[in-house]
Amino acid sequence: MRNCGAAARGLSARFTEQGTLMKLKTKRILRLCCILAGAACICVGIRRGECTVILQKAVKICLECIGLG
Amino acid sequence: MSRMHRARLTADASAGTNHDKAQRRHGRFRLLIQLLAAAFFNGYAAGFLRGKIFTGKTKLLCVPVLNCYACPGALGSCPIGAMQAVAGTRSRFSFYVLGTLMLFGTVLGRLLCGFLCPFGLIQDLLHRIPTPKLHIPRKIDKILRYLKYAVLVILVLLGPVLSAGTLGGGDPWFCKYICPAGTLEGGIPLLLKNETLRQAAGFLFSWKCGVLLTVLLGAVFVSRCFCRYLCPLGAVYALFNRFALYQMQVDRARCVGCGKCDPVCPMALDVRKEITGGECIRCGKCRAVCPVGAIESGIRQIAPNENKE
Repeated sequence: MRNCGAAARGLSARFTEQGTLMKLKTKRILRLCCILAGAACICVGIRRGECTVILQKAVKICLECIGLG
Repeated sequence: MSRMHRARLTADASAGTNHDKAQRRHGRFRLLIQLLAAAFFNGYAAGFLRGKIFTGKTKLLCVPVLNCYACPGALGSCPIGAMQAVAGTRSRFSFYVLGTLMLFGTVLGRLLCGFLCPFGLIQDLLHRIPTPKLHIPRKIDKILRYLKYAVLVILVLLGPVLSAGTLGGGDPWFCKYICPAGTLEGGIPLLLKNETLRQAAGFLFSWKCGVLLTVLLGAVFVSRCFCRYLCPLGAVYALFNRFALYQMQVDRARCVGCGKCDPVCPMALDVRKEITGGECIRCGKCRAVCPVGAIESGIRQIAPNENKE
């Protein structure tokens, strides 16, 4: 009985370890995907001319931002 | 008192003093980084003197923090303002801003909130004012934290789109009705220096000043209340915080459960359970206060026996 308990704990620890390792792997994949997607989005945004819109807005006083509507 | 007992007391006192020193050192280091970041993002000092904004090309770059581009000193664009500016045009959505936020969020997560945000710095300084502090009940606090996601979706993303016509011209709802950073960093300095702008101030300016005052007062009693409940940029970074490159973690093997980390957390988190979650701003206060060094931070792998979630 005692051996079964110890074996179960060992198995559970291994699964927890494997679960944590899988979580690490998932996090790494997510990070890589987000970095690649982020770079791609920036390129798409530049291509769409969004930088021009942002610059045009930013170099004039944003009346909405300062509460003048 | 026996010699052993005296030696133990001396060792404990010395450890405690060293510990306080480490906390103060960390606090000073963090304050220095925050001040440098604020100066860096708002480096156009002449703007404050002349009452004019910077019009250079660096303004097409989005800074990774909430820093209004109407601030006279601002050298870059606010990502939230920029997102709304593009959303109010025929483009409807800014991939450029999204991409910028994804890169910063994935690498640094909410470390940006804890160390670099100028409005976060203002809240931290206000919270130092010695007053009784408000403790928000956990149940209410948990619900209120979802408010920033509603602000992000409704005011930042949908508002400009809904208020735009077929040719664009949408209003930046968050900037226009809520953003306290715009009022504090942009509105007040510009109106102080420009008679024309002062004459144009009406109900909207009074409303925004009211919102600003509420947030600033709130920060005195509730640490980082804007970051917790209203900041749409915090909402974005919270989504990336769990898997960002920069992480904080609790070594469960070392942790003795003393609970010293929880009271110092500016986001009022259960540090042992929530440090890897979306709400931690990676300020490092818990790590500085931990007596056994059980809290780690940096860019490293979490070992299998640490921080079981």
